[in-house]
Amino acid sequence: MLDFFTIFSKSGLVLWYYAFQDVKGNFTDPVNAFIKSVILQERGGSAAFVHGTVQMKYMQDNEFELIFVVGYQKILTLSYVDKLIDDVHRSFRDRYRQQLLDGTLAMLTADFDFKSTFAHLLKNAEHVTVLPKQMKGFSESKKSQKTIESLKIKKTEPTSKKNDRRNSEIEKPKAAEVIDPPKEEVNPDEIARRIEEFKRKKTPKATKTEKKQKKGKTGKQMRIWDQGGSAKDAAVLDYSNPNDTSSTNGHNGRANGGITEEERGWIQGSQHIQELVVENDSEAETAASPDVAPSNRKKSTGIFNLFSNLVGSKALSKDDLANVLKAMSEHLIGKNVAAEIAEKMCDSVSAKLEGKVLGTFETIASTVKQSLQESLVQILTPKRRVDILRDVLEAQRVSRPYVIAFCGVNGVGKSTNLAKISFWLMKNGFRVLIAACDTFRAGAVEQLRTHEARLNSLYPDGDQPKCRLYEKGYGKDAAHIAMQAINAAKEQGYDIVMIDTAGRMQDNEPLMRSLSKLVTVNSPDLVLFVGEALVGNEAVDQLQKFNQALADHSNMVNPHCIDGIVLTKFDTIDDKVGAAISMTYTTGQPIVFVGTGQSYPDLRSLNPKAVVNALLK
Amino acid sequence: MMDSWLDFLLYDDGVRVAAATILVLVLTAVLYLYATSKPPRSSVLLVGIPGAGKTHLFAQLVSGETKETVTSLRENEAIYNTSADSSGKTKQLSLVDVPGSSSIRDQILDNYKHKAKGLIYVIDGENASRNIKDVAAFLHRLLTDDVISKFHPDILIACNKQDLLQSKSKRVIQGLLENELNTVRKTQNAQLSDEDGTGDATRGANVFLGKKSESFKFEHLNKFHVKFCECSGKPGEEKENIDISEVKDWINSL
Repeated sequence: MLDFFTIFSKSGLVLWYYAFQDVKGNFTDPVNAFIKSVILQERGGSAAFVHGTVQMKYMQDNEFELIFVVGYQKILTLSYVDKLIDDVHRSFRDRYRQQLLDGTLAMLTADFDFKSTFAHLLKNAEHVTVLPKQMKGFSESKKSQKTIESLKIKKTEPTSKKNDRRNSEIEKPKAAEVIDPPKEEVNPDEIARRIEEFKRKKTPKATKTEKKQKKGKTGKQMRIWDQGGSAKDAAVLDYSNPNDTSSTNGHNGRANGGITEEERGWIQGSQHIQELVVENDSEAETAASPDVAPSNRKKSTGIFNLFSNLVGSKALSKDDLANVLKAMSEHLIGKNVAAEIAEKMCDSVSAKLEGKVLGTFETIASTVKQSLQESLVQILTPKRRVDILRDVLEAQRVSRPYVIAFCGVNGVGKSTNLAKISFWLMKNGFRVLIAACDTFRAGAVEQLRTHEARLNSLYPDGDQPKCRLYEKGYGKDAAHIAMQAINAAKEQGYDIVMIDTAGRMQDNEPLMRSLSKLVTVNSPDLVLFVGEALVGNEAVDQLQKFNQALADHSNMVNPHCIDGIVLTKFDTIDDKVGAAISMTYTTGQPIVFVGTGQSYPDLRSLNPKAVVNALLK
Repeated sequence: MMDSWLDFLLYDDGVRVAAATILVLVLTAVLYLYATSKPPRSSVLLVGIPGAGKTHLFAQLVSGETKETVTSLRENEAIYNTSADSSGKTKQLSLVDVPGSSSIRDQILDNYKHKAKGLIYVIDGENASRNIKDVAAFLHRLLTDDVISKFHPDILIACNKQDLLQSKSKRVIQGLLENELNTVRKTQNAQLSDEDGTGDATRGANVFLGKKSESFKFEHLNKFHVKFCECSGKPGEEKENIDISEVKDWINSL
C-alpha cells in the first residue's frame, strides 16, 4: 500500500528506491519538498511530514549519512510503517556496510539490489497485525483487589484518630517552646524604666514639632503645578521665538524641516547598507571562525589516521547527546531565544547526530557545538534571493510602483524604520510615496509628515528624487487609503509606495481581519513584519498569529503571508540576539533589515555568522 | 673528549632537561608543519542554484552512471582522473559537488573555495529565463567573492539539460546572463558593504564587475577566464550528440 520508499544519501544520490508500479516521477517531488521544509529548516525533531495527499515518515542514519523515506496516502493509517523503516534500515546497513564505508565512488558504482529483501520485509511487516489493546476485565482491575471493609466510611472515623495523634505530636513541641524561655526576675526598677520608654515612644510628635519650631517660621509654601498658572505667569511661560518666521505647528524653531548640520551629513554616507556588527570581544574572532569551522570538518591528517585505527571509535547515543544538548538549550534560552524554539533546535540537532561515529580527537561537546552552529547559520541564511533594489527596478520596468507594507504589534518601530528604509531607497535614486494608513493612533500622520519634511530637505526637490506623504487624516479605512495611494503613485510616477499600518495585538481579531483585508485588496509586493529584538517568547506567538490571520481571512487560494522580517532596536540588546532565531525559525522568512538606532543611517543587513557567533559565545 | 662530553650530558640534570625539551619542541614543530601543510589547489567545484543538475552531472563525470538524484544536503567529493594528455600523464583532481540550497551553500563553499582550481557553474537550460535573477545573483556573488577573486580559478558555465525540448542554447543564456548581471552589479553593490572591514570578510561588495561605462560582457572580466558550453546528462530526442564531453575536455585542459 506504499506509494514509494527511497533510500538516499544526504549528498543527494538515490541509492535505491521502490515506487508503486514503478512510476519514477512519483517520489522526486514529495521528497524534494520534504527535504526543503524539514531538514533544511531544521525541523528534524518530528518524524512525519505531509505533502499534498502523501504522508511521509522518515529516519536518518547519521553514521553513513543516509535518509530513509517512506510515503503513503494520508488517508490510509498504516500501523506497520515505523517497524518497516527500522527493519529496512538495519537490513540495508548490515548488507551494504562495506560499500557505504568506502566512499562516494563506491556508492555510485555499487549495485544496491535490495528489491527482493525489501519485498520480503514488507510482507512480514504487513502480516504482523497489531492487535488493538484488549480491555481489562473487572477481575484484573485494582478495585476488585480491595476488600469491602476498606471501602466503607465508618462514623467512628478511624482516620480522625490518626489526626489527633498528629495534632498532639505537634502540640507537644509548642508547649515545650512556651516553657523554654526562662523566667525573668521582675525588678520594680526595671518596670519603671520600661514604662518611661514606652511613654516616650508613644509621643513622638512632641519632639518633631519642637524641631520644626527651631528652624523658624517658614509657614506653608504654595505648591507650583507644572500645567497650572494664571495670566500673571504668561510672560514666564512664553517659549515662542519672536524672531522665528518659518516655524509651523510642532516645529520648535529649527529651520529646514528640523534637520541639523550634523544630520545633513547623512547624505554623504554610502548607498550601501552596512553589514551588522554584533558586540564581540575580539573582532578577529568573527573573521577567524570561518577558518576554524572548516578545519574541524576536514578529515584528520595522515599520522592521526594511524592512531584512529588503533583506538576504537564510539557512536553517539541519545543519552550522550541529551546532557550536552540540555546545556546548549539553556544557553540559547539565556540568550533570548524563545524556549520552544531552543527545544526544537536541540531536538533537530539530536536527530542529526544520533548514531554518528566520532573522530578520535573530537569531543561530544565540540561536535554538538559545531552541528548547532551550522544549523543556526542555516536558519538565518535566507532561502530565497533578497534583493529589494533589483525587484524595484523590475517593477519600474513594467511601470508600476513597488509596494511595501509594514505590519506589527504596537510600539516596535514601524514608522521609524519605514523612514529609515525610505532614506536608503531615496539615496539609491528612487521616489518614495508614504501612505499613512495608521488612521488610529494620535499623531501618526504628523509623525510621518515630519519624516517627509526631513527626508525632503535631505534630498531636495530640484535635482534629486523626492518623498511625499499620502494621507487622508484619521478614522478612515486603511485599505481604501492604501488603494488610493497606489493609484496616485502610479499616476505621478513614484517608484515605491511604503504603507504604514497601525500597531495591533495579534489576538485582536477585528484588527487582524482589517490588516488581512488591506493586504488582500492591495496585494503589496512585500509584506514586512516589524519585530523588536527585545521580544522573547512572545515573538513566536506574534508571528504565528499574524501569519495565521493573513492566511485565514484572505479568501484566496494562495494567501499572501509575511515575506520578510525587520528586526528593530538591535542596539539595545548587546549580545542577546536570540530573537532573530525565534523569528526566522517560526516563519521561515528572512530578516531583510536590522534597525540599530533612531536616526536614518541606522539600518543594517543581517550577517548570519556574526549573529551566531555572538549567540554561541 | 667524547667521553667527557657524554658524561657531561648524562650527569648534569639541567642540561638533560633542556635537551629533552628541545627535542620535544622540534618534534612538535615537525608534526605541526606536516599536519597543516596546505595541499596545492586541485579541486574542481560544481556550483549552481538548486535543480540545475549538479549531482547528476557529478555522478556521470565520476562514474559514468546515471543515477536518480534528490536535493543535496551535503557535498559530494570524489577523485577524478583526467584522461592522458599529449605526454601521457594523467592528473588527479578532486571533484566536489556543492549543494545549491541557499541556506547551506555558503557554509560548504567556504570549505572548498581556497582549493578550487576550476569552477563549473551549472545552469538549467530549460528554466534559464525563469530563474535568471537567482542564477545571476549567485554568479555575481561568486565572482565578487574575496577568496575566489584572489585565486581566480577558471570558470566554465555549463548549460545543462540540453536534452529537453525547451532548453536554450549557450548563446541565448550568455545574452540573458550578461543583461541581468549588468543590473545586478549595481544593486548588489548598494546592498552590502565592508567599508570599515568589520563585515563578513568574504563579501567583496566594492568590486564592480566589468567596465563601468559599458554594459556588462564576460570578456570584460580581466581576472577570470569564462567559457560557455552545452551539456546534457541524458540522451535527448533532438540533440542526440550532446553529452558531457565538452565538460570533460574542459576539465582535462585545466
